[in-house]
Amino acid sequence: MSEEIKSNDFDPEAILEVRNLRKCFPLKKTVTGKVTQELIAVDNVSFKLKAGETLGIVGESGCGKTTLGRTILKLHAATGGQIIFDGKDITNYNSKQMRDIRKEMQIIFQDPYSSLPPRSTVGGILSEPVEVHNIVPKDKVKDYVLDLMTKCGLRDYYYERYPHEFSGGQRQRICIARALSVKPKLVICDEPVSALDVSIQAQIINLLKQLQNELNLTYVFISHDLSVVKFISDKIGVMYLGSMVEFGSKKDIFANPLHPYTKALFSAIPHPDPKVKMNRIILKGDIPSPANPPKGCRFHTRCPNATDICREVAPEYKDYGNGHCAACHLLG
Amino acid sequence: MSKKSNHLSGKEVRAIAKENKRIIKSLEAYKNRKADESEYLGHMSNPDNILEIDNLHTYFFTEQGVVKAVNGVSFEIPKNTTVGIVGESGCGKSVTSMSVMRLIQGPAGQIYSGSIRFNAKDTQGVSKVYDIAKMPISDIHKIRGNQISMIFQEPMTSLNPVFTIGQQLDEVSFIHDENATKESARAKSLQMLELVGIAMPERVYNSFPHELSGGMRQRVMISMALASNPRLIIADEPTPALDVTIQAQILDLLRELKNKIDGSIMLITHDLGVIAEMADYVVVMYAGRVIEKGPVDEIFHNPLHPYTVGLQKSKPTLESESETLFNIPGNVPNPVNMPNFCYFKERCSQCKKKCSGDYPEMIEVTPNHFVACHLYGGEEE
Repeated sequence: MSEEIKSNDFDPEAILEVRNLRKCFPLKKTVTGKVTQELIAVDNVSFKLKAGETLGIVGESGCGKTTLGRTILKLHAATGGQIIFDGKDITNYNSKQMRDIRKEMQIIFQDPYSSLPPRSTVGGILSEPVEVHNIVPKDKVKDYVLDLMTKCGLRDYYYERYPHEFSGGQRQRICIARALSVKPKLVICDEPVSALDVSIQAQIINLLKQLQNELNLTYVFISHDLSVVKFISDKIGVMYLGSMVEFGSKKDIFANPLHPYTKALFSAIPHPDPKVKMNRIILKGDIPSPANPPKGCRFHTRCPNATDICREVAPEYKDYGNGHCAACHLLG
Repeated sequence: MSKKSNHLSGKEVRAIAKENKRIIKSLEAYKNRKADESEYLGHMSNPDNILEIDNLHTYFFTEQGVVKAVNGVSFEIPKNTTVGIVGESGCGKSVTSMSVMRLIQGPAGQIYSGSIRFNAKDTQGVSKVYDIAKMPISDIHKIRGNQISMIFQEPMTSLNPVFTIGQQLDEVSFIHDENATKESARAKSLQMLELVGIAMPERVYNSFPHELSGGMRQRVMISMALASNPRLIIADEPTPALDVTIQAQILDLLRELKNKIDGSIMLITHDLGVIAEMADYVVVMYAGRVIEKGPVDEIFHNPLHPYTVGLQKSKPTLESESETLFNIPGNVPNPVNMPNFCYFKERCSQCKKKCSGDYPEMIEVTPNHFVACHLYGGEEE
């Protein structure tokens, strides 16, 4: 575990920088409150993101992608590391200081069915954050919200309706409008399309892309669907069991995946063309429990090329040129 | 008939309820009748088919009106093939499979008309053709879980949490095999667990469902479906709850097993990638109807119906480089009070005058490739 270096020389270009971020959840405590067993959900994750870019985070369930997203928003307190947002180190901000930051960073949740309050109208849902954060003067709130609804592809007369009257795609549009109502700079999209049908998925992805161009938004796009991530992202991070195993620009990652897990992940996607016969790498076994991760490289239990050193020593996360980082012993 | 708003007056609601009650009563009586086997024996139109669904209508009689979840679906499943059914949620693909299993939740859900002919073998090995839609519910155990078995959508919720895997697997043998003893059932269960690639069958046999991972549970579900040597396996979205690498394992397993057990698979999914990889024949459904069906190569390389084309274009692939995704505008129509014209009309970009007319007939464009769309057939394409 490297010593935590707290420095103040932030990259002025990056809107979001994460350094050695760690998040542990206590599993067992003694009577005195001492933690005896913990689950390392996010382990030593570092990356930089420029304004207007999209970072796609892929990985299987339980790999810590959602926890990473929530920790960046400080919905979970980080256990270690630094989160630098817009030139400010927000890691140790208290809730009062966070209130101003909150309107700059928003989240869109996975399940549009349970993330909208059933008892308020669409108008109510969208105007509340605007009023709380004083985004526009009180008498202009309704116009602002209606304008926002048009932007997100919602009709005017939906203003008086309740969430249960809408389909999944429409609800996700409401969630997007709600996140954008406070004019954020950073939006964390936590699997925004995985609960939707294919034809609706395409509508929502196009909307997200179009809004990004209009409003110069920065996205952290969390998904398990590689083809969606490839479509929307500029940079991609692949996570496995809490740690980032590979990070790089979309081009680098897809043209030249370095980590064996990334390769297996790419080859596992069913290809929508019956003539294409994939040269598939099928991984053996299941993902180990994050509460009890394997020693050494965490991927060695399923890695087709694991060697002795992989079983003993955790590989270092290194830059292999052009910001393309990976953590694997086999890369030398 | 078709109204713009969804609001119903009290009078209308009472009228609907009365009508529903009358229909449900007669259908339930038909379902619960005692019948001789000869009443529901039929003939296959092609003896090489294992299952023929002919003009099936499954309706749900709700307070808002009749939901025609399956509205005139016909397709065949030949022996030793995998037939894939694709469609978005609410298009009736699961209801079709539930109808085949006769698991439609009554009294609201009922098979209204149509026939489901299944080429069964009885205990002596004589082949018989049963019409599942006409079978009384008390006779259905001859087929269900025995000759046709099902892999359900969510492995997390389809296993009973208070019994061990072993108890649940043994039960299959006890129900379908009269001569089964404790030992033989156990041996068979262990053999099945081994067949689906579980490394330590003994340990899994004695564990409870919560102790297993999602992939393992899905394997257990598959082994349960295989335990009775079925002739047809219905896999209802077997993989979306799983991660991609586990999904690849399960699909690989299903493909391998199909050859081993020499049966057919009816694979239901919304993922075109899975279909392309697994299926030999594809049925595309939209709003309760089959809109296109054909061999897998035809469907993917020469799709005819605008919906099939749109569905394929709207899925981002790893190769595509375009800036925006193609998308089909609008939503699936409300299932109550469906219009008489083509259901896809409002979302279709290639509408013609003819599309406002009756619902298009199913026509054969190239051998074995059918489509229900006014753009084809009639005059020149």
